[in-house]
Amino acid sequence: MKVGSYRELMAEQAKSAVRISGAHHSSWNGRLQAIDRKSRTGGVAGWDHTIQYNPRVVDEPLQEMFRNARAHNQDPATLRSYREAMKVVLHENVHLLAPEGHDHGQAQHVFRKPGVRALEESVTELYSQQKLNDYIDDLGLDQVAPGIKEARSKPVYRPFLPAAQAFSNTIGSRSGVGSDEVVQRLAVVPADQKFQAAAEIIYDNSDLPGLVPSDQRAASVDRIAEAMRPAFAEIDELDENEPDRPRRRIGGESARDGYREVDALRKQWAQPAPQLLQDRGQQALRTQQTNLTQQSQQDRQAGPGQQSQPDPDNSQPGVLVPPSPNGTQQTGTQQAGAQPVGQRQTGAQPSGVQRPASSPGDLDQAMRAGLSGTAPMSSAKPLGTGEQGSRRSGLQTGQQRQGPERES
Amino acid sequence: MDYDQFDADFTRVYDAAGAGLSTEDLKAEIERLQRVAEGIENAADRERAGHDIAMLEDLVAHDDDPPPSPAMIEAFGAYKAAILDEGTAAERIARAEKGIEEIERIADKADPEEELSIGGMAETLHMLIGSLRPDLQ
Repeated sequence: MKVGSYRELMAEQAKSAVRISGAHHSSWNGRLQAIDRKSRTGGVAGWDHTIQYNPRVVDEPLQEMFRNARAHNQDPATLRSYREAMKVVLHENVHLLAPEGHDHGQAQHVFRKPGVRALEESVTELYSQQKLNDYIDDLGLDQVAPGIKEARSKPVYRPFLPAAQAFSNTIGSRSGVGSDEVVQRLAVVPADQKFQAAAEIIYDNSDLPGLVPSDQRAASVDRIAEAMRPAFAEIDELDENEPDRPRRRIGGESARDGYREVDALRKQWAQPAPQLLQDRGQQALRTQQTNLTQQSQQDRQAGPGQQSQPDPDNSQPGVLVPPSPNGTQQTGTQQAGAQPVGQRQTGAQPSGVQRPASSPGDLDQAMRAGLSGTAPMSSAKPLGTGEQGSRRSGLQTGQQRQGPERES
Repeated sequence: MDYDQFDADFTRVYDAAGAGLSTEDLKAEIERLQRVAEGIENAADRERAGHDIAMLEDLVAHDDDPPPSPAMIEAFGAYKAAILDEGTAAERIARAEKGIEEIERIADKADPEEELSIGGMAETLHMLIGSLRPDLQ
């Protein structure tokens, strides 16, 4: 919608940001506040969804722009001040974009987390740079201030940008969706969802949807997201005098950590069932041998006639013995390896993700997910390139999708 | 040659690239890794190695970008000190407020064209303060 006055511009700012981004909605509450004009900060998107602008940086240049409407040949410094004001407006409005069921304010607590902050600001700025001319076009400001689209402004968060660029380039090329779409999809979700949005792109464009049961998608995406955050957080620790290249490397490394997690998930879910069962049998045997050794040591320490009694609540630490066919719980005296199915892992367990199909119930689940052929689980092997339905190769441009693909 | 062998080689180069490997040496490493990647038997892994090498090419492509100005570097130093993830919420808020003052002082004396891009970094500190404030109640 074309605007003809500063008042109209302020009323339309959030709607226009939603239009050009394809976001579900803006979290803006319709309220504007002023920052101290002596401040050098242009604007702030408040956690209560109020936007604050610095009158000296935003309101006054834009009011002047409408007073000088349609004046040609304005000097470059004046046009730059209009453009910078509009970039602040877009930047704050991008912070407030959100998918259905979400809003900017939900990230208030998480914003203090290293990595989250840097990704939020760098993606928001990167996206604001990319889309500023679309925003100006949508609001009809090129007619109000001819030349505003050609004026140049310097980026904010300059030290963060190389990392965000490398992060989106790496994911964009490997997933096939392209860097710009990665930035777009990250820009339209709140700060606490940005790594998840990146992880969804990675996951959905890998071979994992063909391997992982659909009810494990969210947990798998979380694992990929959490794998990427620590490397990106290193940007806050780099010496300020370091050149751009180490910062760019951090962005690429963070994305690559996400793909390493994809490898781990692929190995986890693609392992053929017989091997899986054998591994678990061996692990159960090792666990039982360790327990027996410890028991023996305890008995020796306790002395003759003082053998410790097995703990009825935990006779096989870490081993969940499945119920017998008649419904009674079996004890830990059975032969290890004979009942590895259903074993509870005692080591470091990937957070929130179930182990691959390891019980009859899990096998059923895997078959329901269409992962198995005539021989359940033995067919769950890594797919060849030509079989990887959703995995794209090369630098393809993905189809532009409307809006974020978040699960609310 | 399998991907794991390539990956170990690539990781060494990628780390060295971030630790100051010269542009010329990095270009030479890229050419060498391209030859190594050609020897990867599995086609999907070869493609993956190509994506890895593209990350190195991306680094080289930006080696001639103009560096941040001294004022921007100074402001980033102030920002880093202000976001230190230590202490109570009150201490962190105080540190962020001091960081805002410092960034604004640096923006004041910077080239006018850079005033807003430097001062804009204080926005995150305002948001950080807003994120910590509920802990004071």
